[in-house]
Amino acid sequence: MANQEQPDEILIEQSQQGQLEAFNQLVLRYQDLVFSVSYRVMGESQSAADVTQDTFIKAYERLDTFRGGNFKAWLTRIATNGCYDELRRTKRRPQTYLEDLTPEDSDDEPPIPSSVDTPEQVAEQSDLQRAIQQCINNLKDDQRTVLVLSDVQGMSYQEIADSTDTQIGTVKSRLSRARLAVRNCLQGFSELLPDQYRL
Amino acid sequence: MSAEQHISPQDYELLSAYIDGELTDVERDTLEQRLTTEPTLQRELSSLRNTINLINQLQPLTAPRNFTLTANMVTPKNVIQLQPRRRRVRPDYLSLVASVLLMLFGVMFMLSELSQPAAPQASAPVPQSAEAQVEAPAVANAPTKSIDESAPVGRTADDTNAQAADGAGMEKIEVDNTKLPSPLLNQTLADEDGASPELRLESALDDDTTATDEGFSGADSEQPMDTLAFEESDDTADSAASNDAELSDTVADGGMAETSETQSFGEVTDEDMAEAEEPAAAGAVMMQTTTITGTTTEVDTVTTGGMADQNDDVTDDRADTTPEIASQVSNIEENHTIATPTEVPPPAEPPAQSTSSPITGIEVGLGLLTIGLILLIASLIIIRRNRG
Repeated sequence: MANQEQPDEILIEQSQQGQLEAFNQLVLRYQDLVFSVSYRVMGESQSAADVTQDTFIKAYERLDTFRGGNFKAWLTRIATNGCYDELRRTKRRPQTYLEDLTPEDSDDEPPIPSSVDTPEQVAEQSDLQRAIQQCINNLKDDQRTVLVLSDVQGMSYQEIADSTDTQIGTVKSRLSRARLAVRNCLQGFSELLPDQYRL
Repeated sequence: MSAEQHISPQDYELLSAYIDGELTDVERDTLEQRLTTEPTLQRELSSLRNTINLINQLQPLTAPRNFTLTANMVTPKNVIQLQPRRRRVRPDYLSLVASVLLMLFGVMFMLSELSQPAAPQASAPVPQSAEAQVEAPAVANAPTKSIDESAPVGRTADDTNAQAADGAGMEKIEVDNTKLPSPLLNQTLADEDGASPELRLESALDDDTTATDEGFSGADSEQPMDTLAFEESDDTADSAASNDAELSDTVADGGMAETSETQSFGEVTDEDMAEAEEPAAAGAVMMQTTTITGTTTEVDTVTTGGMADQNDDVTDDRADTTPEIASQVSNIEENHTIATPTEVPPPAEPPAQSTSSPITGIEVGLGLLTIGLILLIASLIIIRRNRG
């Protein structure tokens, strides 16, 4: 469709004029990112789906406050704030549910990895990913968010700073502590670690 | 990991940023040099890299469904809000403005209270008790003691302002106008032994030397006037209370009016009256302190209240006195006439304290300021959250 080829700025402008269809194009373009971030931060798919839906609704409502710049960082900030709100509301640490990583019956479909591997690889990855996710879940909220945005989503320090409304120095500090904590945590799952990744 | 104990958090941060390529050229060169010389640092770098690679295996996920919006998800107001560039007043900005206004009101409130002039201190003295208060030293040095109207009972601040300065040190005498000092003349108020500094009405009255027009010249006696205007002891004149008591007793004993009106034994001369700072205020009680030395008698008159009648009565009673006294009495009459007492104003009360209201006003201002600050902080937080 023509809209899919349109840059974000055009779609944003059309959305600000009240064109819901133009905004939905933006939704389709960024929903994987938002859901992935939400899932990694929340630790389970149902909460992640709720946060994702709320993120786009809020983004549509506040689109007039977007003054240009990095739309991805702006959208991610809404998502991370939504995750923080949900975590505070439930006052719980994110949990990793086995059904989220295995094709079990669930209300929502389990997260589908972007790449498809062999069943054995999927199983191994499932255990390892579950372990990694568990170690990530053990982090503090701010450290977890920074780690997910950096090492999972591949965002730059500046994008992370914009998404979390912090300074780059803060991003560096939180990220280094988060990585060190995950490393220490993964040492408890050494049997799951590939040889080349033995810590 | 034992190596971790040797690696500082700052080094971990350097290693982490180094992996991400977020170090400056100087930082990178410095770290690379250290990596060649510190094997522990090299091992930690390798360990961190593996950790990041493991986390990278958490691949970005695919949304389980489409999260596109429908019309029923978007309220009409939301749509309206997205109308092109329509300005709307957001509640968070409204609260921001309200907080600023509250703070301004608080500050203005406080400033207005603080800027109020302090209530003029009442020059009017506190209401005099029955015993006059003596301020001996200044009075003692006064060459001529005149009517002390500086601190009369019942004077208002306005009335006594002009006299306040002079009143300092002046003796304050409260006169009980109820009694006439008819036997005053025969009353020995001073020491029985007739020591010279003491005031002896009797002697003063009996002696012609005392009943002179200039008899109350302050130069003749520098003794301060006691509350009842009589110095009653050789020792000191500054024991007002004791003097009062003594005088009163003496007066009483002598059948004299137990008031300092005994002072108005006619010994207030024109000179004394003229020395008064001001004529007695209307209604002020005329209090006289009389210092009677061996030969002269000084009378300090302090107007404290409406003693006109009593003074007149005193004057009348004095008519029975010796001619000298009578002349003095007439002088006193004149003097009293000059200063027509009127109704004694009620004791000056402390001016309406604005301090209470400033305190209250300041408290109100502080309260408004505090509320405004809280609202301001909350508004800023909300605005920030709404932006993203």
